[in-house]
Amino acid sequence: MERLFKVLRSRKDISDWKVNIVKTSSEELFYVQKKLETNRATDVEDISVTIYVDIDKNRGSSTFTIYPYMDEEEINKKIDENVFAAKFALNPFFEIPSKQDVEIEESKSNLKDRDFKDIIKDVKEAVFEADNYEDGYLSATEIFLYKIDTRIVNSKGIDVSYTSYKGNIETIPSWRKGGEEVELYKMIEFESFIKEDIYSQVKEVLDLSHARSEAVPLKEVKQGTKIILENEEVGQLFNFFASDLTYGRKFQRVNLNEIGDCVQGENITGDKLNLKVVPYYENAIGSRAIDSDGVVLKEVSLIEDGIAKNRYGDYRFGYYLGEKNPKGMVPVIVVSKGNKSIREMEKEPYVRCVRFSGMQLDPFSGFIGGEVRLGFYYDGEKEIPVTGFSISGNIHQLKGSLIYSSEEVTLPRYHGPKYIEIKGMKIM
Amino acid sequence: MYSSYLKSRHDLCKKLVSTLEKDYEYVSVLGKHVTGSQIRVTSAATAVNDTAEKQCGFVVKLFNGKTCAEYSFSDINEDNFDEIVKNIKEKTSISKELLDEHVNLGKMSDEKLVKDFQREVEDKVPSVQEAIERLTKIKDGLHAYSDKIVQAAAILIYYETSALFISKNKDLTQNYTWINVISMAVAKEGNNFKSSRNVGAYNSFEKSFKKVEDEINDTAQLALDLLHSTLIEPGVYDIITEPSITGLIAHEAFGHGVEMDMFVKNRAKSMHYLNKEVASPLVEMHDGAAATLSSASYFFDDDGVLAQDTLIIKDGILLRGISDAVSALQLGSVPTGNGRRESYKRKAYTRMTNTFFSPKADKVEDMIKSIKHGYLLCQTSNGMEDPKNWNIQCVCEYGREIKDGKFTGKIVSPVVMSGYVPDLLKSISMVSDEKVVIGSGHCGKGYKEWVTVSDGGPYLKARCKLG
Repeated sequence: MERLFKVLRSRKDISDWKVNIVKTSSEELFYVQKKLETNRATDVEDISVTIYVDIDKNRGSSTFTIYPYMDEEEINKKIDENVFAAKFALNPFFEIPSKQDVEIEESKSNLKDRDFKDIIKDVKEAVFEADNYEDGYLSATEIFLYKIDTRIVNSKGIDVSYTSYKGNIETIPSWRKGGEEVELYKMIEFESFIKEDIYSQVKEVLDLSHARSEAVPLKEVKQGTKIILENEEVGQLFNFFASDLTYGRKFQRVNLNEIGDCVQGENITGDKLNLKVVPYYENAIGSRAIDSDGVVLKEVSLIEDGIAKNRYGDYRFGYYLGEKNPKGMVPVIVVSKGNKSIREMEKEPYVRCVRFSGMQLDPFSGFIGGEVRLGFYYDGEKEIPVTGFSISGNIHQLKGSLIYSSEEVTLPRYHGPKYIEIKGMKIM
Repeated sequence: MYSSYLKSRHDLCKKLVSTLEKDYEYVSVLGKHVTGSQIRVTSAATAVNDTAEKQCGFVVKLFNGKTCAEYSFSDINEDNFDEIVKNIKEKTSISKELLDEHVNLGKMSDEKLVKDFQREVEDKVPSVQEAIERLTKIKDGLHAYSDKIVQAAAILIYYETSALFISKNKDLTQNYTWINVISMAVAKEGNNFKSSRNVGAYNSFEKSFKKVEDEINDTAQLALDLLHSTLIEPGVYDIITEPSITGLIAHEAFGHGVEMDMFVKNRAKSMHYLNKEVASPLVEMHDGAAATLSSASYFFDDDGVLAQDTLIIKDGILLRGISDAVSALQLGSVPTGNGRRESYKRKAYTRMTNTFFSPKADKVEDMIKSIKHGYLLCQTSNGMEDPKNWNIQCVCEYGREIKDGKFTGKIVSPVVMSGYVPDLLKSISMVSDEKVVIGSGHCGKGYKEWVTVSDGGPYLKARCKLG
C-alpha cells in the first residue's frame, strides 16, 4: 500500500487525492434445508482511489480501482489515464475534508472475540434449533460472518482506520398445508451474536410462514380501513423525509422542502415528526463513525416537531451550498417514538402489512404502495391472515396524519417506531 | 482485449489446480477481471468512475467427496502461492459437526475442453473527452426541450469482462464487452416532480449513443407528460405490454421460478408443472447467454459450462428449467450454462441471462385496436419474484389509457401489476411479430447477488389486475 501512497505523493499533476481501502474476510455456510451444500471463505481487498485536478477555478476528479497486483509502473499508468479523464470532468471547485481529531471506538461486536469457525457453528445451531416444526421448515439458509477493515487516507492529512463486524442470515421459511406450500423471506442482520435473538427471529419468520399458509385473499375490505406498516417499511417511509434533506437534493434543485418548512404539510393531525441522523446506534449494523470522504460524523437533528432544521450528506454538495462544515453521510436515521401502542392501534379495524414483495415509495411523486404477501385483517371482530392484495396512496396526502407506535425497532440504518398507522390508502 | 493480468496468472492457476488435486476430487479456479468506465454528466456535476461491475480476483472450488467448498482471494503470484494453498486448505476445512448432515453432490463432470473466446466491441472506444462532449449534448438537449426540465443526466457505462476457468480438463478464457448509454430527465411543476429515462444498450458505442440521442425529445416529453399522470383506478384490465414489460413478466413472474437451484431447495412451484400447460399456446420463452446478443451474453458461465439457448416454454407447455452445475448435480440433470456469480467474491447460483418471449404474428396496431378499455404498459420500474407461490409483483413506470381501440391521452403512473402468474400467462391472446431485448438490467437473487441481465420480447395482449 505504501507503494500507492508514494506514487500519489510524488505526482505534481494531482491537486488532491483520497484512498479508500477495504479488506474483507468472511466465513459462509449454505444450506439446503438442514443439509450443508457449500462452505466458503473469502480474503479480498478493494482499493478505490480518487484524484482531483484543479484547472482555473474548477476541479476535476476521477475515481478508479487499484489492485494488489499493480506495481509502481502500473499505478502510474492508471493515474495518467485518470488525470487525463479528470481534466474533462470539471466541476466548480470544492475542498476535500482535512485532518480532524477523532478517536475511533473499538467495535463493540462480540464477533471479534472468537474464531469465526466457532461462531458460525453456534449461529447454525441457533437457526436450526428454532427450525423444529412439523409442517414448517427453512427451505434454504445462508449464514455469513464478516470482518471488515476500512482505511481512509487523503492528501489533507486524514488517515483513519477502523474494523467492523457483522453477520447475516438469509432464511427462506416455508410452510406446508394440504398439498400446497408457501414461503416468505427474511434477512436477519446482527452486529453481535446473541443466540436467543437469532432463535426468536427464526421462530418468528417460521410462524409468519404458517400465517401465510392460512392466509386468504383479501376481498371484502372497506376502503379507508387503516393500514399499519411495520419494521423495514417504517424505516423506508422515514427515509423519504431524511433523504429530501440531503445537500445533493438541494443542490440539484429536486428537494421538496426548505429549512423552516413543515415537512408534514400545513395540517398535522397525526404525530409530529422528530428525526435525526446519528453515526452509531447499538445493533444498527449500518453505523459508521466516518464517511467515505473521511468526514468525522456527528449527530444531526434534521426535523423537529415536523419542521426541517438542517441538511446533511455528501461533503462536496454541502461545500457547494456554502456549509462551513458539511456534515457528511450520517448513516442511521433515528425517529422519536409515538404514544400509541400497537394494542391501541389494533382496537379498530385495520390491515397490518407484514410482508411486501417490495414496497414502492417514489422520492418525488410520493407514490407509496405495493403487493402484500402477508397481512392481518381485523374487521372489528376477528383478525385473519390475508394475502394477494395491494395497497397504494400518496405520501404527500398522508404525511400529516401518520401515527407512530410507542414500540421501537432497530434496523441496520434505522431506529424508531416499529409501527405506523396510516389512514386513507387504497386497498385492492 | 483479454486481460493481460489474467494471462500472467494463467500458469499459476494451472499449478494451483494440480497442487490441490492431490487432496480434493475436483478442483477448479475461476479468475475474473472486469474493467471499464462509468461517465456521468448531470445538471449538477460530471463524474468519471470505474464501472460498477469492476472486479479482479479468483475463486477456487473444491469437492471433498461430500460437499462443495470455495475460497475467494484477490491475487495469486509466485511469492504468495504457498500461502494461498495453505489458506485454501485451512479456510475451507470444515468441522465434523457441520458435516453431520450434507447434500449428496456426486461427482462433478469435467470434460476435456480447451478454448479461447473473444467478442470485441463493434466500434472504437471513444476518448473520455469525446464521451463527455456527447453526454453533455444529451444533457443539454433534455434541458433545452423545456424550462420545466430541472434536472437532466446522461451516463455512459462501458465494461469489458475477461475470465479464465481452469480445472483438470478445462482450460477456457473469454473476453467480451457491453455498452449502455442512459438518459434521465426530471420535470418539475410546482412541488410536483416526475422523471423519465431512456437507454441504448448494444455492443456498440455508436448504436447506444444514437438510440438515446435520437430520442432526446421523446424522453423530455415523457417527463412532462408524467407531470399530469394520475394513479390508476384499481381493477382488472385488458393490457398491452411493450417489450420492456414483456421482459419484466418473463423475468420476474416466470423466470425466477425456473432457476433450478430453486428446485433443489423445494422453492419452485414450476418443478411440479414440467411438461404441463402454464401459459397460452401463443407463449414461447427462452433464456440463455447464447440465446441472443445482449448484456448477459457470454461464452461460458462461472462453472465453466458453455453458454446455451434454453427453450423453457413452447406452445404454452413448460419444457425445462435452467441450471448451474452444483444444482444440476443434485438433480441429476445437465447444467445449462446459467451458473453466475455477482463477482469472484460470491457464490455461484442459477441465474437468468437473456430472458425473452418469442414473437408471433400479430401487428401492434391491431392489438391496440382490439382493446375496449385498457392500458398500454410501459417501461420497467422493478419487480420481485415469488417462485413458490407464483404471485406477480411487477411495477411499470407508466401506462397509457386505451378506449375503443384508441389512446385517450391519459397517462397513469406508476402501475403495479399483480395476480397469479399462470392466470396472466394463460390470458395472453395476442403476440406481436417483432421482439426487442433490452440489455440494461440488473437482477438480484432475493435481495442480493446482483448480476447483469437482459429481457424483452414482443408486445403482448393479456388481462391483469392493475393498481
